[in-house]
Amino acid sequence: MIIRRFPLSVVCVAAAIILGLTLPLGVASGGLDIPAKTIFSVLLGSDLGAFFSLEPASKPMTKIIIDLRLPRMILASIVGGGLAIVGVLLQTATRNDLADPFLFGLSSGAAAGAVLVITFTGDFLGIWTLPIAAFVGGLVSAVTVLALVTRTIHTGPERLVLAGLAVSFLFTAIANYFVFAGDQRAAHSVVFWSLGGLGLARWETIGFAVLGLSMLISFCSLKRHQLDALLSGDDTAHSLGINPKKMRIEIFIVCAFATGLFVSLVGVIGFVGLMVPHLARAFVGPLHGALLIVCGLFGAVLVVSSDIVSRLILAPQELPIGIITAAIGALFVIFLVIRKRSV
Amino acid sequence: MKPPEILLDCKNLFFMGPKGQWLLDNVSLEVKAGEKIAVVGPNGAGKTILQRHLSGRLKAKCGSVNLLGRPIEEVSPVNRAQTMAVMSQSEHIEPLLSVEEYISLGRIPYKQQLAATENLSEIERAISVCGLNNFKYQTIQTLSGGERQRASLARAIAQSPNLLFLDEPTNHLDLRAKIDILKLIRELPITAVAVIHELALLADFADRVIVLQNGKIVADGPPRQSLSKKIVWDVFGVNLVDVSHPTSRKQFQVFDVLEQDINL
Repeated sequence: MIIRRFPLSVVCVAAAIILGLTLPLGVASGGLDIPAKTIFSVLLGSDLGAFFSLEPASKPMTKIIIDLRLPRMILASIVGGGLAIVGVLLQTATRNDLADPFLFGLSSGAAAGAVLVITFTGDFLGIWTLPIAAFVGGLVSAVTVLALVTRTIHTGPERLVLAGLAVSFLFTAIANYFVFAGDQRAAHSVVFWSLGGLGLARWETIGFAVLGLSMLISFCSLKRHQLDALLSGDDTAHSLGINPKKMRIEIFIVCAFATGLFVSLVGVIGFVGLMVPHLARAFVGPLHGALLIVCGLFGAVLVVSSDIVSRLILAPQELPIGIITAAIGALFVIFLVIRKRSV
Repeated sequence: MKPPEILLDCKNLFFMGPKGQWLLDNVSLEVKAGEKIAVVGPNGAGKTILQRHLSGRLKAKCGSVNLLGRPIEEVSPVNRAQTMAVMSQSEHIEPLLSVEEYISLGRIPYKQQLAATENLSEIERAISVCGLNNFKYQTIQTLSGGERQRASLARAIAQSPNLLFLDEPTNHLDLRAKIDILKLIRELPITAVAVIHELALLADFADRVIVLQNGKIVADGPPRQSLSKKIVWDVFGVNLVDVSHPTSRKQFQVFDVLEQDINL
């Protein structure tokens, strides 16, 4: 059986075109549908807009597009691409098909952080309060998981899954305790951070996501060959001059930090990091140079389009995006299970 | 005459197993350029542990390992990978890698130094040496055991090493595939150290056999000398019988558990 691989350029151009089509769609659709003309007029500015004889948009319309929808779509692309890249890195590091960015108990950590702040301190840092609290909470859980894993790393990466599970339950218990102990506003927070949503996207906080993505991109471009080496097994990787244990810890740290940054803004958007790498491998194979680029693009497309669906399906109400990605993801995993059995 | 270059040596290696038994008990040896060495011994004799020490996979807690005269811990990982390669057994290889992609991993230590075309020609060479031209675009998961071992060997050869370690290269192979892979390694113009269980196939592969028992080297020399009747009986508990092929008169060794000699 000859393996088919698609040329990287073809896959990238196709994915970029789809992303280019979904992004404006995402700006246009939602609780309030905005006509394409208005979007162009806002994006081109009043002078250029007048040149193309477009009517200038009203002030509130401009505000919705510039301050809400645009940052939302950009955040969706960054987070989608980032989570997919984290998924590849973790699947390579653990050599486990089911590894995903939320392996570190980050979701429950972030929820616990946010709930604690809501219950005890209120918005003492303004718009930054929730992201920072969620980030710190996520990081605490990730550090706990990593500490457990690095102590037992010689027993193999499977421990990561167990440690993540245990820490996850611990922080969920903490968050739920505070919800039931008193503050009802906290309940909404738990839902937001465990099911995800792009509603908090603002230009002011988007830097968090940019930082996470830039960390991932620089790590991947420096280490892509070392990542490839891990695909051949630990002994062979060592023979190729790579220290698999050290490499794994580096991957875990970068992933935990980047995911923590993403979670602080959008909560848990599950299954993106699990699903996209499998899909991308089918197109360009498992070597990281091509795989990571394709994953970034596919991830962006998936989250942007899921966000559009989440805003339309019960409009004008907004569904948490995690529900959409989990539904797609669950079907995908079922497909994987069936296919694996038949091989 | 110039003495042959010493590629690798170890001195006074000790290593204790989990049950307190010695897996390496004062092991010292030298590997000279061009040698084909087989390391044999019963299960638990310390063969794999020795190989892991020599290849730098395990750090020597007691004793020293030198690569080209330098302590192996001081050699940079990239230099080490350019000097020696390890073909390990039963590795968990990503099943979706194509054979060509997998073998190309052998060039990772050279990515910074050599042009892509140079790396590519080394990959092609390794593929054709191991007879994998027809399998290049298949995924690893579709290969048979023998093809997989050859792909592993090609990956190690693509590293262009001076010294090649092989951990049970004949494991899980049928008889013909065993002979083929040992012959292939024999003909490679590099130094090779192999942990092997197939005593009967050794004579055609190795020009030096190291016999380990309870972590000690009990014999080290040419195959006929290392695998003498006495040593084979003492270490493996089997009889060694020399027989000659009825027509070609080629000498064979038969290993058997019967007490009495076999008359042919």
